[in-house]
Amino acid sequence: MNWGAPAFLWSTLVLVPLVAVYFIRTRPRRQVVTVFFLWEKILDQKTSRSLFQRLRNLLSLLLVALAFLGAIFALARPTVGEKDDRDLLIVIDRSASMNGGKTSRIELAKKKAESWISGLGGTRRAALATIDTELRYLEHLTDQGKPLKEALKRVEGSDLPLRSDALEELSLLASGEGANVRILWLTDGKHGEVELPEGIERVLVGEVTDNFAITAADLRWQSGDEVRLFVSLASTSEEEKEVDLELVHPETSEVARYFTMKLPPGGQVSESMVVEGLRPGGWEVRIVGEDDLMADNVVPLGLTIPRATRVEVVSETPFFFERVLEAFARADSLFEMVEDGPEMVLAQGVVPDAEVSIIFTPSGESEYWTQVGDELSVGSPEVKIEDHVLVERLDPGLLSFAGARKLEAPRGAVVVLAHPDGSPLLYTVQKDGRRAVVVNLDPAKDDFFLSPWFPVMIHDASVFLTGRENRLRSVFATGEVVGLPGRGEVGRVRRQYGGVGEDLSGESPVLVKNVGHYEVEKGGEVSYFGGGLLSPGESVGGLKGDEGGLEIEPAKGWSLAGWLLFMAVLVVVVEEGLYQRRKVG
Amino acid sequence: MSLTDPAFIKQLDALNLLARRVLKGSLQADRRTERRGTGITFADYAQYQFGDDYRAIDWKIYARTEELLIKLFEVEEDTTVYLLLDCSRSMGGKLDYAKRLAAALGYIGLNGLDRVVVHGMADQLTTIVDSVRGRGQAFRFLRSLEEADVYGEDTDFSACVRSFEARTRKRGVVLVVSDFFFREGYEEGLKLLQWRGHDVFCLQTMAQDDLKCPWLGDLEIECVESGQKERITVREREAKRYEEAVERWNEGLRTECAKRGDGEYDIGCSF
Repeated sequence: MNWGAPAFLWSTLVLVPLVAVYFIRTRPRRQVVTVFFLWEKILDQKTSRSLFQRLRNLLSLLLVALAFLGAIFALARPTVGEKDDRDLLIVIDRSASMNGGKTSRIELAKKKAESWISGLGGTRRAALATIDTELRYLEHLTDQGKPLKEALKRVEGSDLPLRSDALEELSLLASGEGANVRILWLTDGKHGEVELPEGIERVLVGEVTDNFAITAADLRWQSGDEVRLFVSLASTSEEEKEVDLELVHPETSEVARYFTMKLPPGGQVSESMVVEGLRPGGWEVRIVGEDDLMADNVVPLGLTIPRATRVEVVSETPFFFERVLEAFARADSLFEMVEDGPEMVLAQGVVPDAEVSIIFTPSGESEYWTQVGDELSVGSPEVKIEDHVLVERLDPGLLSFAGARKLEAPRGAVVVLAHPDGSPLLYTVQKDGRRAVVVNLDPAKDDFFLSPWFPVMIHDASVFLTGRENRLRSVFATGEVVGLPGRGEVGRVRRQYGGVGEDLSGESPVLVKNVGHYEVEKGGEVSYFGGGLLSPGESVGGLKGDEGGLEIEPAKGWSLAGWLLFMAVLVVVVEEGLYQRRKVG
Repeated sequence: MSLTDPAFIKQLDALNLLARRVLKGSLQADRRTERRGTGITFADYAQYQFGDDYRAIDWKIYARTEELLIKLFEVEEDTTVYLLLDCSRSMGGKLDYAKRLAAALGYIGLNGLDRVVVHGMADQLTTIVDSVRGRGQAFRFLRSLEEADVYGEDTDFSACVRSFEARTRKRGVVLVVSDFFFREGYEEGLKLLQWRGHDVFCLQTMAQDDLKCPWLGDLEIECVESGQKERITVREREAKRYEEAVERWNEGLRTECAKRGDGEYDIGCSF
């Protein structure tokens, strides 16, 4: 047996005055009686008074002494077995899968943790943390059970998946120099391909039953009023199953599509289909029925009307420019060719009177360039800014920039690619509120019109200038950060789910922390997207590593000190009852 | 209240008048007895026997019936009232009441021209008032009675009665004022008193604590007379047993008195 605070054992010396006080306390009252001989007759009839009554006070004293010793031993914090004085870090997995199960696994984990905390009985220090996409400390090392239990009450399951880097952070804690901490991780083991790092003891809670999950989904405007729905399902069942799904409007419960998907044993299946007559806004694709984890049975989806950028072509040879614009309009509804009131002008050789423009083949004098000279030699350009959006999808080494001319960019221009002699080849410029991307090459030369880099260059330049991605995805996985497309201020970000709405901070990017429908207003435009679990690891992830057993189970339930204290109180209460019964009848 | 207090004596006078009314005024020097003798009050006729006083022959009846009948007259004598007052330590606070009771009875006796003797009882017999007679002795009687106090250790009623008989030659009315809680019992003493031809009356004085057991719990009880001690635990059950024992004891006293033809009266005290 080990003692957490052996100094308290000196308190046993107090037993000496305790015995004295007890005898004084139990001394009977003196009572003068006139009919003593009658009392003698009564007492003679009581045969049991002999031995027991003589020993009764001694037995009573023995009980009190035992109770007192119990209390002293409790203060000395005894522990049984091998002494383990390492600090405990109890980490509760609060990832989305922990919400599953008949009794939610997060509740089971909390109960287990509470049992451990109670079992410590102040003999060891413990800390409490939760983990999902990040490691979060709820209570730092303490030997007090109360704050730990209070912190434990605050633990709730999240909609976020478990991230391996959060676990890595834990393992660093365990392997740190001089680390004297035992890390106990309470989890359901559903964390997919995440490897269990060294130094972490995993404790599995709850049982995992068959689960079906939507692991991917998309809702994309196709053309006219046609919308394409894509759904990918996964299953943990070892039998082939048919799963019913529905696409519904969350507010009106209007079912837009009801369909069935056949899942192979333990496998996954995907399906794409056209749905007509959907309104822009939030929609939900749901699995009909119940299973182990309900959070992955619903995926909120956002359907935003695509709005094309109006583009005018100003060129003597507009054919290839127009074909590029038409291709993007068909595929992505990114552009719309107009002849009047454009948002952007695609020009060649001239500077259009437009707010936003992409200008190929600069010539003559302009505020966007000066000192146009001779044609430059053909060669690979120098990359001035490597991670610029204009060259993000380009391979500059494959571009020849044939027909480029020697010129100078105006002050304030951002040169992305330049000729070895210093002349800018690809740069951005901003003058008096007008913006332009200047491409110093002649696309007619070296068959650049036919090069795959030609449409890529136009796409990236237009996205850069208009600040408008071709399309916001219809759904993002929880834990993802969403960069909102478009220029302008972020007005409102609102999440709504299950009839409950909340306003989020109006900043971009938006962190998708919870499952729900997100409505974002930016630059006067309203976009919708959904936040769904979409984590195969959380939904159908298997176990990796050990089976979750503990080599040494931490004390659980009441500590030995707690039991001793309880017994002491019980004995005192019983003895006090007997004493009162003796003393006052 | 003192026994010689004028107020108390006034109360005794009132009591005396009441007693006279109850006894139809026959206490004045003519206590009626069952013995026949030479009094002036005709009692009965009887056949003449040899040796009878021929002066008592009723000649008128002889003339009519030729039978010799003599007249019998009630003996007129002064009676001695013996008050045996329990002065043992068990009487404690009850002694005052016992003394007042004895004072009342003695006072009535003195007013009836009876002789009154008061003895104290404990482990031995003592004399408290040695034979007084007449109303003029009332004050002496009361003062002596007032000075009486508890004494002795364990009460021995039988020994006291034997001692009383040894000192007393004349029969009389014996009034025993006591709680009658005698370790050795009261039967032998009462039997002795009756055997000597006394008219015996038992007047039992008891305190509330004698009848009930108000204490519960662990106690060290101590005998007020002998000083004996015992540790006991009194619960409801023991308290009830005690009350039953006291009730049985008192019932036994009543039965004993009824069996012997003695008078027995309970006098309660409320302390």
